[in-house]
Amino acid sequence: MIAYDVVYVRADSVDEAVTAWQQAHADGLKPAYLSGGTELLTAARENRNRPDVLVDLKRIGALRSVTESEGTLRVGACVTLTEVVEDGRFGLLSRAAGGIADRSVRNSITIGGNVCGMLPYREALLPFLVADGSATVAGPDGTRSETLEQLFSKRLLLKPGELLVSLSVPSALLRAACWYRRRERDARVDYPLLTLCALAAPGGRRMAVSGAFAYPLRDRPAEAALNGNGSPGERAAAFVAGLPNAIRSDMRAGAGYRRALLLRAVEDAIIELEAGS
Amino acid sequence: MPVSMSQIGRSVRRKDGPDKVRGRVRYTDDIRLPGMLHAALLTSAVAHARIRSIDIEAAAALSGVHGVFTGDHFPFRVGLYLGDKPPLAQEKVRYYGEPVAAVVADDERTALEAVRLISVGYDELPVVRSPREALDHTAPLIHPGMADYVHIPAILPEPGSNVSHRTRIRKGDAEAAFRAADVTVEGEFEFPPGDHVAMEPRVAIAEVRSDGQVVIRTSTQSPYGVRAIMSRCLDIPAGRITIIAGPVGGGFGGKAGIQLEPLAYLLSRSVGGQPVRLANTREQDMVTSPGAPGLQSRVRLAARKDGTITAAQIEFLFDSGGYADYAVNVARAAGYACTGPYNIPNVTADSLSVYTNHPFATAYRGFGHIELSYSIERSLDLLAEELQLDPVELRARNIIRAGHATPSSDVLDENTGDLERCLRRAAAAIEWDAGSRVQVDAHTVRAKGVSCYWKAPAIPTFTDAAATVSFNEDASLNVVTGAVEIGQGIFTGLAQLAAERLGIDTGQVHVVDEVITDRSPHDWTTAASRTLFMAGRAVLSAIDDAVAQIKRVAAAPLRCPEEDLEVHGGRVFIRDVPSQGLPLEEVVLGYVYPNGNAIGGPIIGRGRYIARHLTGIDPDTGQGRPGLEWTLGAEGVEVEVDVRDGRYRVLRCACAMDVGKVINPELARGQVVGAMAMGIGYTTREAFVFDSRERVLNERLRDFKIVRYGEHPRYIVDFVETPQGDGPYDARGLGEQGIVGMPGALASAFSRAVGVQLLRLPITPEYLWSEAHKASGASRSVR
Amino acid sequence: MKRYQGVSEIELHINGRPRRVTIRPGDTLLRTLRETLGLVGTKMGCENGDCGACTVLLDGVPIKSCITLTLDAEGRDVTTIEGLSDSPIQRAFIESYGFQCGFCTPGMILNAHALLQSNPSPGAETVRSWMESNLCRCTGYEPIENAIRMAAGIDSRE
Ligand SMILES: Cc1cc2nc3c(=O)[nH]c(=O)nc-3n(C[C@H](O)[C@H](O)[C@H](O)COP(=O)(O)OP(=O)(O)OC[C@H]3O[C@@H](n4cnc5c(N)ncnc54)[C@H](O)[C@@H]3O)c2cc1C
Ligand code: FES
Ligand code: FES
Repeated sequence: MIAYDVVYVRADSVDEAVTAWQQAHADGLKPAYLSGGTELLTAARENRNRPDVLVDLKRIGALRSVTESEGTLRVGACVTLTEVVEDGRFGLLSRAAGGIADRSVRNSITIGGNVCGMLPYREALLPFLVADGSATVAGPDGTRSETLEQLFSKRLLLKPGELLVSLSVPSALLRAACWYRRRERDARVDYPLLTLCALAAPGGRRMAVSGAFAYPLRDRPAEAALNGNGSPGERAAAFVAGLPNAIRSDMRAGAGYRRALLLRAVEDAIIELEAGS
Repeated sequence: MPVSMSQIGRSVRRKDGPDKVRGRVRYTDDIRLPGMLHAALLTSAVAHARIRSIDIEAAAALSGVHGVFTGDHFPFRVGLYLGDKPPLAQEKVRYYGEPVAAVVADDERTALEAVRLISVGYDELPVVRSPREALDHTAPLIHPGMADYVHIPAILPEPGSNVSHRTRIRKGDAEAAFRAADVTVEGEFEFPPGDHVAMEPRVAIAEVRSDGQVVIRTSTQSPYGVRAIMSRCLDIPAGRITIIAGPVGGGFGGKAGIQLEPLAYLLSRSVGGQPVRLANTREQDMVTSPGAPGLQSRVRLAARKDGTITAAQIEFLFDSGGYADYAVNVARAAGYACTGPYNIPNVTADSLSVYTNHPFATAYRGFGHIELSYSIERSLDLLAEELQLDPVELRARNIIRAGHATPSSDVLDENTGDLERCLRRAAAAIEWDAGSRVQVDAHTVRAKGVSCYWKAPAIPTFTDAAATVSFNEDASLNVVTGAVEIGQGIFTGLAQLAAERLGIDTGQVHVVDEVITDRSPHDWTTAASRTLFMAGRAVLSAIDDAVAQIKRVAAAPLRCPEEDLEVHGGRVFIRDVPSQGLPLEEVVLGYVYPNGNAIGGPIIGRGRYIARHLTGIDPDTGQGRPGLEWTLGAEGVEVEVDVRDGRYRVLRCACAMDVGKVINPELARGQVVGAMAMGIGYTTREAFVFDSRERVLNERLRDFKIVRYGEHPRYIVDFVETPQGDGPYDARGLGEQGIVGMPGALASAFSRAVGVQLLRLPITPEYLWSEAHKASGASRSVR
Repeated sequence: MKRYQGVSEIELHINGRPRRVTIRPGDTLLRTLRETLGLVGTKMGCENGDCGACTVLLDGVPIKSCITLTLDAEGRDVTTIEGLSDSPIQRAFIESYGFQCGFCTPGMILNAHALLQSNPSPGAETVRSWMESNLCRCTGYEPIENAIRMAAGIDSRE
C-alpha cells in the first residue's frame, strides 16, 4: 500500500509517458515510470522511495511484445518474466528470467522493471550483456538505440525522464551454446549469491555475473582468460583474478563463499561449453 | 444416529475444512468494527539507547490523527512472569524494533504517514551481543531497575546482573561421578534468536465500552492469560475485561502470553474508548513482537567405557533479548528437563534466562526443549565418537524408562512411553543399519543422524481446563471450552472424544469455535501440547455430567432406577432391555408427558480438569514434580551433501513417537510433519542476522527464509501407543514434540557428511562448505 | 491517457460480477478487496510479495495482490477465493488435510486452481515451480502436495 497521496497516469503511448514524466517534473514533483510495480510498491510501503506521480507503462502496446525481425530479437520493456520464460526464443533469457523470484511474482515483474530496478541483481540483464545486446530508450530528446556496452555501466545509463523501450539481441546469437547457473543461500526462492550466464559466441566465450558484485557485471578484458590456454580450473582462476571488482559480503554469505561459487561456476561453464562445441 | 464404529483412531475430516478452503474463516483481522480507528507504531531504529527526545508535534497536527502517544503516556510495566516491559519504551530502548511511539488515526494510511513525521533523538549505549557477554561483570546492565520489578515466586531474577532467572538442578553427586569417569566429553553450542513466522501477523482490536467494560478481540493462544495479566499489570478488575479469541492463523507459542493487547487497550482508552485496531506489519511481527530465544550452552558428560552415562554438568544461557517475557520459564523448563530422555543419575545444571540487546523472546514450539535437546544430542554424538560406539546403541543404553528419575528426581511411572521402541523404529525407517554415511560419488555424501527427545508441558501446577455441554432440539450438542483453534484441529479432536463417549457421529457435535472469556469456561492457555489432554478430559467429564442428568430425567418416564439406564447412539435406554428407551430429543430439553406435564429442563453438562500432583521445584536444587506427562520419541534423518559447495537436500525425516493413543491419525501426522518441517528450517536457516550494532538485518520475509514447497523430504511418521492412563482415551500431547529432535538429528547427519562435529546453528551451505574445507585437510571421521 | 488523483470511482470485475469501488491510486488490490469490498478471504501475510497469502487471479493468472495496484485490475477479471465454491482442488484440500490454521489456504488454493486450469495433469517439477510461490508454516507442504495430486487425478501415495 502507498500510504501517501500519489498520482497515477496510465499512458497509452511512449510519447504520452515521456510527456507525463516531463510535466510532473516541471511541476516540481517526483515522477517514476511504473511497470510491474513489484519493486515500486514494496519500496513505497517502507518509504524507501516516494514518487509523487506514477507513469504506468504497462498498457502501452508497443512495450508489451517480443518480436523478431531483420536479424534482431526485441523484448519490450513491459513483457513479464513469465512471458519471456514461455516465449523461449532466447533460451538463456528464459532461464535467467525463470530463476528470479517466484512464479506468481514473475507474472508481474517485467523485463524493464528488473533491469531498471535498484537491486544489485537485475538478473534479466545478464543474457543481454553476454549476447551483445542493445537497448532502445525514449526520452524528451526522442528515441535512441545503443549497445549495452555503451549504455550499461553498473546500471543502465538513462538520462532523466528516459524510459527503456526494449532490449534486443542479434538473432544469430540466440542459438549459440550457452550455460546458466544460479546459487542461493539455501531456499531456491531467494536473491542469488551468484548467477552466471555464459555464451559461446563465434569470437569466444563470454560471461556475465550477478550476485557476486554490487551490480551485474560483464568484464570484457577479463574474458580473454576464458579463451586462453590452461586447464579450465586455471582459466577460471585467471578470469576471476582479472575481474576488477570486490566480491560482495552480506547477510546471505561471505565473499569467500561467493568466490568459491564463482570459481566453480566459471570452471564448469568452460568445461561444458567446450564439451558442447 | 447410532454409530457402531469407534470415533477414536479414525481420520475424521476437519470440522473447519469447508470454511477454510473457501476463505470464510474469520480471523481477528477480518473483523471491521463500526467506528474502528487504526494504530501504527514507530519502532526503534537502534538496539540500545537512551531516548533523548521525541517530537510528535507534526504527527499530531496531521488531519485525521486522534492522538500520538509515547512511553510517558503509559506509566505501566507489563510482563508475563516478570513485569519488565513498558507498552511503549520509557527512557531507554533495549532492542531494535522496540515500540517507541504510537499513532491513532481514522485510517491506517493516515496513521502510517503520521508515524513518519515523528522524530526521535537517541543517545546510543554499548550493546550486549550474547548471553555470555551479558554475564561478564563489565557488561552494561540492561535493566538497572530489576530489583523493583514485580514477579511471580517461581521466577528468580538476579538484580545487579543481566540474569532474569536461574534454575538450578542438583541431583546426586556430579563431581564425584566425573572424578570416577572412564571418559568425559565437553561441547559448547550456540545459535542466534529467530522467529515463529506464523502466517498471520499478530493483531488486537480493543475498545472500552461506555460502562467501562474493556473488550479485546485478539489473535491469541491465551485469552484467559491476557485477561489475568492485563488485570494484574494495568489494574483493571478481571471482570471488567472480556477477551474474544477466534481462530488463529498459526501460533507456535508466539501468540501465547501477552502480546499487543495492553497497548491496544491503552490506545483505545486514550481516544475515548473507540475501537482501535493495532496490527503488526510482517516486519514488526518478526522483530517488534517476540520470537524464539537464542542459546549458548555448555555440556559435559561423564561415562563408563561401555557408554553408560554417569553424570552431566550443564549450562544453558537463553538469550531472552531486551525483555524476559516467557524466556524465564523457558529456561526453567529446559532446566528441569536438561538431560533429555536419558537416565543420568548425577546432574548439575544451571539454566539461565539472560537479557541482551536482541529482540525479546517468548514461547516457541518446544519451549526450551529444542535447545536442550540440541545440546544433549550433539554431546551424545561427541561421546559416541570418543568411545567409538554406535550412536543408536549409545542412546539405547542410556534411555529413560519407567522407574528412572528425571533431573528433578521425579520418578517416571507406568504411563511412560517406550522410547527404545521409538528409537529402533526411527532408526529402521531411515535404514540406519544399511550405513550411516555413504559416499555417492567423488563429492556427494549421504549421511544419517538420529536423536531422542522428550517433552512435558511446562505449565503451572494448577493448569486447568473446563467445558460445558448443552443440547439442541435434534439432540446434537454444543461443546464450549476455552481452547483456541490455532491450526491443530482441536475442535475436531474434541468432537471425536465427545462423540465417542455418546456413541454418536462427530457431525452431531458442534464445538463452539470462538472463545469469549466471560462466557466460555476457563482454560489456562492453548499451548504446551496439553489442550487435547486437558480440554479433552474436561469435555469427557462434561459429557458424563450430562449423561447423569439425562438418566435422572429419563428414569421417571422409563420407570426404572437411574443405574439401569444407558445413554448411547442418541438414545437413553434400559441396559438389559435396550428396546425400552427414549430418543434423546425427548429428554435433553425436558421430558413432556402425553398430558402435557413436563420434567427436567435443558440439560447442561459441566466438566473440568486440573493438573494432578504437580509441584514447584526447589530454588536451590530444582527437585520436584513439574512435568505432567512426558511424551517421548525419536527422530532419524538422511541428508545428501555436495561437499564442493555445501549444498544439500534433506532426503528423509522419520519420527517415531509414543503418543499413548492416536485419536485422529491424519491430524496427528499433520502435527508431526508440520513440526518436523519447522525443525528443518530451524536447523538450517531460521536465525536473525545482526549488524555490528545488533540491528536485525533480515526482518523481512524476503530475507528471513522458511522452508518452501518443494524442499520437503519424505516424511515417515510412526506412532507407538503405550497408554497414558490419565489421558482422554489414553492419549497424550503431541503438538510440539516433532520439532524437538530435528536440530540434533540433522546436525548429526550433516556432521557425519562433512566429517566435522558441527556445534552451532544455522547449518547453511556456506557453513558446511567451510567446515568441509577445513576437514579435508585434517581428514577426520565422525561416526 | 488516463489520470487518477485523489479519490475516484472505478469498476472492477470480481468473481464474474461488476463492482464499483472507490479507490485512491496508491491502493493495492489486496487492500481494496479486504477493506473496501469486504472480501477478506484474501489474506495479508507480509505485504511484500513474499508469502503468497494474498494471491488472487488476474485474468486467470495468479499474482500477489499486495504488490499490485487496484488500478492494474481495472478492465480485467479478478478471481478471489470467494469466487471458488466447490472446485476439485477445494475438495481435495479437505480430503487430504491440506491445511491447518488455514491462513495460507486461500492463496494456495487459488494458485493450485490456476495451475490445474492451465495444466490438468502437471508433473512434479511444474507443480513445484508454481507452488513455491506460497508459504505455509503449518503443514510442511506434504498434504498440500497430496491435495494437488488428488485433484489432478494422480495417485497420491507412492
Ligand atoms: C518476492 C520477490 C522476490 C524477488 N526476487 C528477486 C530475485 O531473485 N532476483 C532479482 O533480480 N529480483 C528479485 N526481486 C525483485 C524484482 O526483481 C523487482 O521487484 C523487479 O525486478 C521489478 O520489476 P517491476 O517490473 O515490478 O518494476 P517496477 O517496480 O515497476 O519498477 C522498478 C524500477 O524500475 C523503473 N522502471 C520500470 N520500468 C522501466 C522502464 N521501462 N524504463 C525505465 N525505468 C523503468 C521504475 O521506475 C522503478 O524505479 C524479487 C521481488 C519480489 C517481490
Ligand atoms: S501478503 Fe502478498 S505476498 Fe505476502
Ligand atoms: S495452514 Fe497455516 S500457514 Fe498453511
